[in-house]
Amino acid sequence: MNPSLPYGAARQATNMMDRLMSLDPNNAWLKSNCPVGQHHGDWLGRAGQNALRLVLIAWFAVVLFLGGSHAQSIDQVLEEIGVTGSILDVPPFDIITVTSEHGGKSVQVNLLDLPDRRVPTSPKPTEKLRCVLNLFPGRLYEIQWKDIAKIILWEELVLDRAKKLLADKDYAEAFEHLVYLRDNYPQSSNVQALHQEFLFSSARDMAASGDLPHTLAALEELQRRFPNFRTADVQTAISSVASKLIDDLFARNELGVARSMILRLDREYKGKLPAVDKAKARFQELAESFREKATEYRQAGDYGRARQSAVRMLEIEPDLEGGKEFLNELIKEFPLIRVGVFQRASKPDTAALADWPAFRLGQLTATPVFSFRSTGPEGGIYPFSYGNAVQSDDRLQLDLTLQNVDSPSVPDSLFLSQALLQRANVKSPLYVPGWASIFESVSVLGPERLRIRLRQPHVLPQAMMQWQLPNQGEQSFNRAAYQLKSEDEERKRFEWIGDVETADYQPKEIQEVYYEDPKQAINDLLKGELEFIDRLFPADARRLGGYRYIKTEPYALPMVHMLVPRGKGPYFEDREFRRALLYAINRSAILSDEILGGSPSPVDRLISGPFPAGASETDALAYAYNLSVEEPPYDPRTATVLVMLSQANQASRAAKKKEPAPKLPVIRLGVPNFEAARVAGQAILQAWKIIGVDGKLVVYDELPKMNDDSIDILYMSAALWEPVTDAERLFGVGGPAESNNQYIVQALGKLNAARNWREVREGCQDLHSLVAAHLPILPLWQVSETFAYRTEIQGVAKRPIGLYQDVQKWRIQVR
Amino acid sequence: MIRIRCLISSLLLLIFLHWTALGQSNVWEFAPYRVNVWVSLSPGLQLDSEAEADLYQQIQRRCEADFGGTWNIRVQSTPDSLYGSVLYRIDELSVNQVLAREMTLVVGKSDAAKAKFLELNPPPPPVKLTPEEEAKRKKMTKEQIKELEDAAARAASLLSVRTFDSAVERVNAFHVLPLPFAGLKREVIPFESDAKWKKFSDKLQEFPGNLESLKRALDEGEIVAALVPKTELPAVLDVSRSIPARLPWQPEALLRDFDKIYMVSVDLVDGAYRVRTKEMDSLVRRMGDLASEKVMRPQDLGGSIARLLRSCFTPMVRIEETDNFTATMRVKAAGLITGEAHPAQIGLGDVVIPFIRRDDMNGNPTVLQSLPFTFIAATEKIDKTSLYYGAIFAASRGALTAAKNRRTQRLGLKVTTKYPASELHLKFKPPFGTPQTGALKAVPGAEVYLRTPGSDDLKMVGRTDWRGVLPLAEKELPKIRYEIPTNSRNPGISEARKILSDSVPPPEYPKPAEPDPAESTDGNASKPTKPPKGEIQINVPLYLYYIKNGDTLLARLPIVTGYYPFDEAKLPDDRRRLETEAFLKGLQNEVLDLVVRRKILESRVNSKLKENKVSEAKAILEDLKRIKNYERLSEQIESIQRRATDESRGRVGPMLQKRIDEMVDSTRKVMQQWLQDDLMRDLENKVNEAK
Repeated sequence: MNPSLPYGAARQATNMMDRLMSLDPNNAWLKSNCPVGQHHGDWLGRAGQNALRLVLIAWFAVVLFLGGSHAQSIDQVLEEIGVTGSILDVPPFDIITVTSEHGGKSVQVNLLDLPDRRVPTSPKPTEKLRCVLNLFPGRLYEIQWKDIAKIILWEELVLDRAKKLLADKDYAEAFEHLVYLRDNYPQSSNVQALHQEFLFSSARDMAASGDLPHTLAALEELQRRFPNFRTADVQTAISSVASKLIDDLFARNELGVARSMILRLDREYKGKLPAVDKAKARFQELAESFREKATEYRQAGDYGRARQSAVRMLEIEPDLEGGKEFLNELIKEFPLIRVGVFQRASKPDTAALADWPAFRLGQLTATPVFSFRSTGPEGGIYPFSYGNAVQSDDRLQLDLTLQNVDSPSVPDSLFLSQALLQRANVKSPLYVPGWASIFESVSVLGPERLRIRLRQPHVLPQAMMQWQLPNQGEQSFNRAAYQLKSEDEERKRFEWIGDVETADYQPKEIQEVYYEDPKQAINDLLKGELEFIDRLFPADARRLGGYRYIKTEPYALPMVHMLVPRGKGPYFEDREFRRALLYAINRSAILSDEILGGSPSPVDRLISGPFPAGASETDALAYAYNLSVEEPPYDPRTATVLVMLSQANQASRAAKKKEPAPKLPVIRLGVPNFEAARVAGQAILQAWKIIGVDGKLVVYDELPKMNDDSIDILYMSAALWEPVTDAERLFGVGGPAESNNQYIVQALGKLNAARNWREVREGCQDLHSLVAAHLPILPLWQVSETFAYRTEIQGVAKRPIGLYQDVQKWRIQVR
Repeated sequence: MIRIRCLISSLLLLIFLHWTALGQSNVWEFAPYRVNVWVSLSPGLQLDSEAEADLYQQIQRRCEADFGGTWNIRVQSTPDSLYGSVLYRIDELSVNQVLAREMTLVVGKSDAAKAKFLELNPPPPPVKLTPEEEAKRKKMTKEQIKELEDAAARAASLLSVRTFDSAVERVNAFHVLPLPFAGLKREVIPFESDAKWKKFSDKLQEFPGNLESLKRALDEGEIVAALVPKTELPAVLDVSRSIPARLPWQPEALLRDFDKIYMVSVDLVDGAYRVRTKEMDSLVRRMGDLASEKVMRPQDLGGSIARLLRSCFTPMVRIEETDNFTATMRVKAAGLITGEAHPAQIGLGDVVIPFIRRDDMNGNPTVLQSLPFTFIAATEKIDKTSLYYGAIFAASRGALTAAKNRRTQRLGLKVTTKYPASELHLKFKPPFGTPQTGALKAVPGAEVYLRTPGSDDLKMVGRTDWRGVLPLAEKELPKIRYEIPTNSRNPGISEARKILSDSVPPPEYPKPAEPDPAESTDGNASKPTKPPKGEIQINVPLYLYYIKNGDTLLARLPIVTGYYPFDEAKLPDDRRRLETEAFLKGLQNEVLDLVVRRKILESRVNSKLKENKVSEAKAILEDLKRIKNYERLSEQIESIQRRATDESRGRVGPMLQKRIDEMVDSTRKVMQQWLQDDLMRDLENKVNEAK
């Protein structure tokens, strides 16, 4: 209520309203908001006519009630009607200002139904304009044109506000208003002008503030939308800005981006921009300089850098004369493959359980006596690296036949037998308890043959022999095709040491380049500075799959992810606390949303125990998985209660010892240094925080030793592809999840004593069941890993178990 | 009158017995160790007999200097039958191997042998009967006459040769295989002054063949008697019978005559004289550990041997009275010991390992038993000379107490550590109802904990590996706590000091801890307080090792680290029970989770009903219905029980069956208490009412 308005007027208006409403108690026509005309008719009768008259009286009463208004700016009008702040935040409305004879006031009305939303230039004064006041949305009012001093349409309001914002250089808000008008009132002639003005002003201002990319974008938009708007000036400006931008990109060594920009500008402006020609010349010059560098490196025998320079050369100027041929010559002369990796390997180990880089390195540079090749109907397939192996029907003997014993890289049976004995000798530093427990004796039957006898039948003794033979004096029995040549912080170089010369385009050298930032690695792969990336984050893998010249390939077998409690405090030994930690984790959400990005394959799934579940029940890999064990629930409420229960237990134990109750630990969660693990680790910590358990992330490069007390719980991804032997390697003495739990120890013993596949399955499934019940580890999920490579690399194995499987078949196809 | 006579006789008898007993104990503590030293010298040493005798004298002199009156020593060359073994294989020589060198006399039992005997010893011609005898004979029945004739025939037969003396008298020759023959001939020489042994020596004949041909000769009657090594006896027993022969130079006889026998081997290794010695205790028939050293000069040999003998020597005690916790022990030759550092001394804090020897009527040992995992630590002096209290630490209580009778001796040897560490080897006893055949299975993965004797501390040592082996390396000398002997129910122990004139007063015992007043206000005042205990630091690392399998204690093993290279214990096969326990514990965890989840869901349903949000309450009730219920858990527990008692996986003994049943019952009770209720029905009713 306007305070200047006399109380009597308001009273009067109210009385009139009441009288009006009393004429028609149902008031249906007002409520239904029907056009008044529809009710004009005979049936309206006298009462209706009277009613309309009364509406007109009411209109003025309302205007009177709302207060008077004189000739004002839009802002003043808005202020008068009480609209402040962004007008886009309120429902659209128009404004009617009555003539001064009627008080000159303005009122907010619903959008007027005007033809083409244009206010008639000369309406008949007696004609009436119908409108609905925002204040009384249920009522229709009429006003004669002669009584209207001014109508401000909604679009005019928005336009006016946009201009003011533009003047105030609030480009973001102005752009929002502009877009609104463009989308909703394109017919408004002023919108185009405003758009031009907006683009030009914003470009000018952004240029002044040094925001070159946006300046260029604004100018190009201006040119595109309004080609006739000061064409010469705009193109000059574009050229100038592009020139500066290119200089900047050159300075930042983002030549690929610079090149794309130049090509685009050249294509779009067809040589009209002087900066483009200048830049092209500059590119040519730079590309030539890289060719010179590459030539120098080539002559110096540094093919790695030569190749890098040549790739840069083509990246800058793909059409450089003789450029491609030069690169192809380089590739042919010294084929080289660069692999982007995110974790450094410390030592090669083809049987590494929880050390992916060691496994990868092992595949490239090591020759184990037996190596895991693939899964078969009864466990893994393990070829013997030096010949043939035949297991007896009673599974008590393994006959090994060595081939080419005259070759210096093949051991004789005596040496091999000694190596086997050493690993069974409790006093030897190479002693392997698992091997010793099944090994009884070895007989040398000749220089090429030996027979291993076992204490008891064992289904896969080969799986226990995935280690490398030591050197015999100077003689090495490593038959791997590559060996480490040099290494520094950034890269490891492996050179070909095969028995024969490499074939054409077969890599003579493989380099593993270490990256901390996956995005950088992906950029380098896209640019051609890398040929492979190992172990991609699943979301990145999916994105890379969209590139024509990049291929992504999943590995054949999934990795099992788990948490291994290693903390020494009382809580970590408490079963209730462990279960609380597990129940608090929304494993399903973390797997599907955080790691996989919402597109799980059948093999990517939650697990309830330590062994892989395979892709389906019939998957050969799933022989150890116990389907009857239910998956642990996500239940933070129960988890919270279990934490409290655990605290109470600890307090009671401490009280018995007359010690203070131990505090809940701040859990140090160790995660391996790859993105999926880091992401999962963060999500897990958040989940624990919800149940009142704090934690912090500790990223590790190398799997921490058991006595490493910097970690309380270890996030581990393990290659448990042969559960019958891997269970012992995981939970047994020295394993990464070594368990002192008597039940687990006994179940392991039972599994180790299994004599046939029936007993193996039973043993594994019992172990699975007990692990789920006693939680020496907290099972999370299994995930298939992926690698990506450029399509010019041929011969890459389909669904290999590791990156370097069949590395000898790799060839580089020249472009 | 007769009564008085009887009384006097009984009194006299008692006095005699008491005197005898007193005399024995006096002998024990004042009688020196009878020590025999066998020396085997390598021919490579090239010592002549004079130098050899000189060496023996040196040894004797030095040992007498070391041991004084506690040793009565004789040094001699090793008997021929053992000479080589001592010289070359002393490291692996065992008591049985020593005794296996005994020669045993056998006589043929075939008809041919009997005929041969008759041929060699024709029966005397029939004696002409006197008229009186003739008349007497006529009065006899035919049977009586026949019996007389048979008796005469038997007397002339080989069957009548039943003793060694008889054999020496009546058998014409004792055949001996070539190898032992030479030694036997040499060994008998010192005894030939005795007519019996001279006769025996004269009848010794070398048999030109091997054991097989000797057996054939016995069977075919070519020879009547032979002396064969004890180890070969089983091979000839089907054609002959053995006759006990105690040849005084043989080991068995020596074991009777000496308390300790020391074997000494001297040879040349890498230009140095290598001396190796070993102790064999005659009373408990125990072979000690090898001691060895090298000297560069022959004149140092005597000193070296004496030094090694001192290091090998194991003092001995006689265990007199025992209860479950305490023993009284009397130190051998203690009355002859001069000084605390005397090698024969056993003092406070020393530990002995007990042995039980049970003899037959002739004093031959029939049982020689070392009690596994049993030690006695000397804790208090009773008298000033030889008597000690000892605290018993044993795997099973009462073994020593049960072994007390007249022909049983309970002895103890002082424990010293010789190895840097020990290994604990755990084996499974054969399963219930199956005989023990073949090697026992190892116990892998057993949890081993350590406790200081008498204390409450308990720390995990580790877990046995796949061989059932765990290295033990605790070498710190512990301060142990023991039961105070005067509290014993055995008056022989509690009153031991009272009957002695030179008794030593007991030590001052540590005061028991004051009861915590806070505890007494908690209503624990009626809780019996633990009796006070004595405390002493012992001289060897004796600890109690607890073997656990899950929640069950399988064994409590006192072990002295470094006394044996390894200690083997046989444990009951508990795997089936543990497996069942593993699954049941898992189920118990699940029960707890379910109880928590049910309570949470219940309170959520109630809370929603309070807020009048019936549909939400109903949805939560549906969640509650989806979680496991009592019936499903019952099925699980039944499945675990079926599996545990499945006889196709091996027999289930009554003890195992009982334990499994107990575990299952306790789990079922927990389930019944917490899960078998009307929660679901009550909530459903509430929800329905709220609708």
